[in-house]
Amino acid sequence: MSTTHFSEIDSSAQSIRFLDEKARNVVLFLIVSGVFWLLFGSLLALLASIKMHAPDWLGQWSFLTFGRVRPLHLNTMVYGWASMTGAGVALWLLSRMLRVAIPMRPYIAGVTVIWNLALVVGSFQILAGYTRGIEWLEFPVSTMIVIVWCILVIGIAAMLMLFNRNVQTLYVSVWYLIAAFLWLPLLGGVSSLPIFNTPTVQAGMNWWFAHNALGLWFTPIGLAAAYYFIPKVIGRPIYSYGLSLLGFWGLALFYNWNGFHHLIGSPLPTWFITISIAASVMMIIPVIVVAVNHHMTIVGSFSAVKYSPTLRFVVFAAMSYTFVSLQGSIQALRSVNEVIHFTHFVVAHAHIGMYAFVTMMLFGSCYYILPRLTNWEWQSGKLIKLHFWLTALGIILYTFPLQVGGVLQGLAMNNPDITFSDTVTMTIPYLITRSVAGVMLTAGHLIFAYLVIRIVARVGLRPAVPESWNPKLEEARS
Amino acid sequence: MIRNWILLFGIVAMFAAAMVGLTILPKIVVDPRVEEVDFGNTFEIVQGHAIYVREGCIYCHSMQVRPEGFGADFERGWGRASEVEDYRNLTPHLLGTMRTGPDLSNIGARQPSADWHYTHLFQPRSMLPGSIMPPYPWLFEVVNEDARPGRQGINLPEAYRIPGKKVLPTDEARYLVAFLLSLNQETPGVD
Amino acid sequence: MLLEQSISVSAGIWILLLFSLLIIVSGIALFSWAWLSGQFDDINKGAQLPFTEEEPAGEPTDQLFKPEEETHSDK
Repeated sequence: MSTTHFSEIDSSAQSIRFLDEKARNVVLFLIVSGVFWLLFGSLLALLASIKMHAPDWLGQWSFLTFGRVRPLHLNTMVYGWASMTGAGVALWLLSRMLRVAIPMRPYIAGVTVIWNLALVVGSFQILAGYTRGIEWLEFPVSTMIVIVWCILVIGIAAMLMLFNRNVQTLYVSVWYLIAAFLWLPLLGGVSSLPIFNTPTVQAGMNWWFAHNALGLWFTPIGLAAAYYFIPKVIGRPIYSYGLSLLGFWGLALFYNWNGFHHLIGSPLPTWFITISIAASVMMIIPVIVVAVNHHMTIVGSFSAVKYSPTLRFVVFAAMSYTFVSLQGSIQALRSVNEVIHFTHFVVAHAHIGMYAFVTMMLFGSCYYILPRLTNWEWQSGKLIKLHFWLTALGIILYTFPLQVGGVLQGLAMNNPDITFSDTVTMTIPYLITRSVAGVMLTAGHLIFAYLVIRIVARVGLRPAVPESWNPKLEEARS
Repeated sequence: MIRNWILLFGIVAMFAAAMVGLTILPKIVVDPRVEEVDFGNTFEIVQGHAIYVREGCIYCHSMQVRPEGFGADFERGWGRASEVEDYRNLTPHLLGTMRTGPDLSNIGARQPSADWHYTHLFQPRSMLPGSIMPPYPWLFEVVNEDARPGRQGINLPEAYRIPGKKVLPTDEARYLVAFLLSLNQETPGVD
Repeated sequence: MLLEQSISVSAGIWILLLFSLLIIVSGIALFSWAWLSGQFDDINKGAQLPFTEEEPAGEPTDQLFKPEEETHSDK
């Protein structure tokens, strides 16, 4: 065997290539759908960002007003890009680690079609003004239920894989992924119930949901990818498996309770909010555990980071996770929250979480998964590097100045001697910086989309062996 | 197989505990406090609330006043601290998380002029030059000066006037302003 | 009003106490089950799970930027 093309490799059931071949269509469908929503969401993000400092631009059309474009940006990024690509990555990871082919493939393809349609319908609904009006849940309940149902079907496939697996022990990534597939349908179901009809109670449900959508759906998927790709790419097992389990149960125990730190100072009974503050601070434990584990695994292998497109993104994302989580624990303290609540600081914080952590992790996962699914090579290493630097520097340029501006805005807002309109005008330089960063991020997304189209359509040069795979694999084995 | 079930049970139990704690318990504690309050929401206010939601005002305006001594909400004239009884059971809730614009809990007392609100909604910069609030021209009709005799157009400053035209608020603008004017935190609280 | 509030606060404390007791007891129960049934006997065995005969440990994968033609320094 001199090459590792499908025709020549071991295709017995449970072999990696066999599993990848079975996974190919459904995972590619989910990832490509996600990339489409990434581009659409980026366009909305640019619109919303520019409207923040040029409010009259496109101001005559109701469907392009800031109050509709901004929620649609969030919803397409969260339920389109991150959820779809995340579900595809999760299915692929489960197939690899449980050594079983993805089941229910026609159903998964079917629900992906329905999921896309629901997102299209939901987009029209929000732009036309038929919003549910709850942050992170702007899609009307009927649309949201369809999306949750789609994820539930994919989750059933994940459970089938768990119970039909061909390995004895479960790797820690599997724990995270199984948890994610249980938690999101539960979250989506409960948040759609019509029982939260008291405004303040609904606000509590709102932030319980919104924080858990990140903490119990995207974070587990991102951490599962990190726990798989870091050891896999550098070829060294995780530093401490025991620590990773501690991290998992710590996250499950504390993250669930975090949501009410968004409501500090609100009229909800204070003891609920205090529980959330305590739980937010306790999150330091699982975060430090994960950070130590990843760092001790990578240390000494930084050349692998340099040479691997996947690991660049994954390491950047893992570092962002540590940073954003520790920042979140500090933000939850009342004295800090008094300043930064209601400011652009929190917006920047959310983007470190959803972008610098989740999105970068998904980019890295795609760079590993797609060559193996398509048996093709990435078009250009230079473009991958450009994508990395545009998005990495772009998100730093987005978040760092905006957080500085947010703190200044918060301090000014808490000083009654400064007029309110001054707290608005002082943020405009930071908002313009954000638009510049947004252009960089969008350029990175366009490059990524181009690369994905090239590799999925399998056009361009075809090397004898995809270089993303281990070119020395054959020698190592013989 | 028992390990599978213990894992799944643990995952769901962690979730269920927090779900009870953060969604069901607040409902049990808060709901009795708002049961018997007389809300007195008129048709205009309910419609105006829906338009406030539709246009996404919540993404820049909070509607919750923090207690005196926690932030400068009180000093800015936004009223006393909000209480669960203040929200008059209009859902979706409008507590909000951003103050790109000022808190609106007390806007009816701070700016009781409907004419000001109409002009400000049509073109915020005609009232507040540095504002970054979007304009809402679709809540207004621009008609010829001589159309609809007896109805006076909104009072725009010279720079924003359209020659030969007058600007009339539609019903939607009337509802929205009725809702805004109903927001008043000068009233004594329940506690 | 003050009375009602104090009732709701103390009720909250009891609920929290019972709840935390429940969580602590079930946590101890699960931990002792895990310990007694030998879940911790070989804790680091799981770390080897991502590696197989096809892709063994010890060899980095995904080294796209390794080849020599990448001359310009970029990191």
